[in-house]
Amino acid sequence: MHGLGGLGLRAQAWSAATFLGSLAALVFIWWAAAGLAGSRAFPPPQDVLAFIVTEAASGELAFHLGMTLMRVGAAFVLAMTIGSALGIALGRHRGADRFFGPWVILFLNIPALVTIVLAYIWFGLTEAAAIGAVALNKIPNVVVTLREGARALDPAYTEMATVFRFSPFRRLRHVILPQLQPYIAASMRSGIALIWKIVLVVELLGRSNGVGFQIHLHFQYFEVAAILGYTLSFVAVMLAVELLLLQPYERAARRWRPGHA
Amino acid sequence: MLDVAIRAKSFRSADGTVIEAVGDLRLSVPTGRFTCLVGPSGCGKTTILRLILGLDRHFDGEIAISETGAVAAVFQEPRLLPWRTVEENIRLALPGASAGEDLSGLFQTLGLAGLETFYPGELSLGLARRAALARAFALRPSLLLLDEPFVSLDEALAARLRGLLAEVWSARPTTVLMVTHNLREAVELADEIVLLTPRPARVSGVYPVTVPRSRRDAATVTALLADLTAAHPGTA
Repeated sequence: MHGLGGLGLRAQAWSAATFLGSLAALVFIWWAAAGLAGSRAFPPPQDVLAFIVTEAASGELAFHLGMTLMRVGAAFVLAMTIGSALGIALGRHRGADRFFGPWVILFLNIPALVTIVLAYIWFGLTEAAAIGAVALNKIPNVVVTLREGARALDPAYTEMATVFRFSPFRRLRHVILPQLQPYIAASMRSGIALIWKIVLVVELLGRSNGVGFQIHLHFQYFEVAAILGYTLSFVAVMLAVELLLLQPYERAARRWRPGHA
Repeated sequence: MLDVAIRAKSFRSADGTVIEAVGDLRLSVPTGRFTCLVGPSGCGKTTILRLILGLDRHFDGEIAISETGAVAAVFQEPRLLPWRTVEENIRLALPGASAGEDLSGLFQTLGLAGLETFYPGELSLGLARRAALARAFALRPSLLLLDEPFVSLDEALAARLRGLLAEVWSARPTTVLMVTHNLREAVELADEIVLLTPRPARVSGVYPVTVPRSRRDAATVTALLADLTAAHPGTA
């Protein structure tokens, strides 16, 4: 979908038709398979849709999606800010990297579940513990990606900035961050998808609202339609975030590249 | 006044060999004068500029800059930020106080008018070089260092840019040190030419150009060149 702006109207219509056709085929296969199975554990698409409509009408859906989205947003901002700062610092200072490198590997390999359980035990079943645990899971990934980016910074631009006496802020904004943009985009992409999956676990284990809590609730009654309903609704939310926030941001950031369209 | 006294500068290559880039080298550029540093390719000229610019502090010797104003440089490659437009690139080099300055005259002089909103990737090398010159001039530096700013341009364009450089320099005399391996270019522009030996660079001779810049037409430049090579045999 990247190049929509550059395609002709015909090609655009064709690509939209392919997209819709592909989705329709998937729904049809689901419907047919559910009909064959004929079990409450595998409901057809119309049952899931009916659940979404009722849940939306009562306001429950929006509330729980909103809570999850809030946690995803907070953990995402926290992880990107702290992770980028640490990653850039490690990429720029070889000594610091040598010392803290093993820590990064250690945290990179701690399972999300362990971080979450420990955060709840140490800090109680609070919102801060929940969001902090999610962010902590993502930070090492951001650090590793941004460290790679900081190592690849071109000294030619750094020297230019030194000669023309750029202030530290000007240097960060106009020299360093634009060079790191592909690395930031990559960790945002992988981050947003990873974070929302961990948020569900956090909600399942210790929150009384959000998509994860709802899935936990409906799991106890084997309400698969409800589980799928909440999941698909949140996937739709994430798709909207991708289309309305991430892609426009990347397009704007790529504007200077020759042949960006 | 720029005073350079380098006793030695060496590099260690990846396999551990030590390369001596600059030998015992003393040179001074009086305030408001245009000096050219000429030497064979690979003799350490760029290293000398990097030491003056403070981009490399690992050397034995002293460099004193008595100019109190801004220092600007034009590197061998234009080194424009590819993600900023031509105008943004130039404004970013200005200190906060003069950030809003009117640059249209400068764009006009350098033939960049109309290209302000272009990204460097959309410019030819010649235009990118001009933008790099504009960035250095816009700062109104009291010391300007140029590292082969016209290399790999066709001769007609290089000649035009040299003319522009001379014009801007005469309008606001600045202490200039320009590195080049093109003697003709040096004779056209400089008040004084400092000749360097092959690596490790040392001063092999100094040649003052006394003919006023306005009278240096093609014939005069050729005569000066002949005079220079006669006085300093071995410089091509």
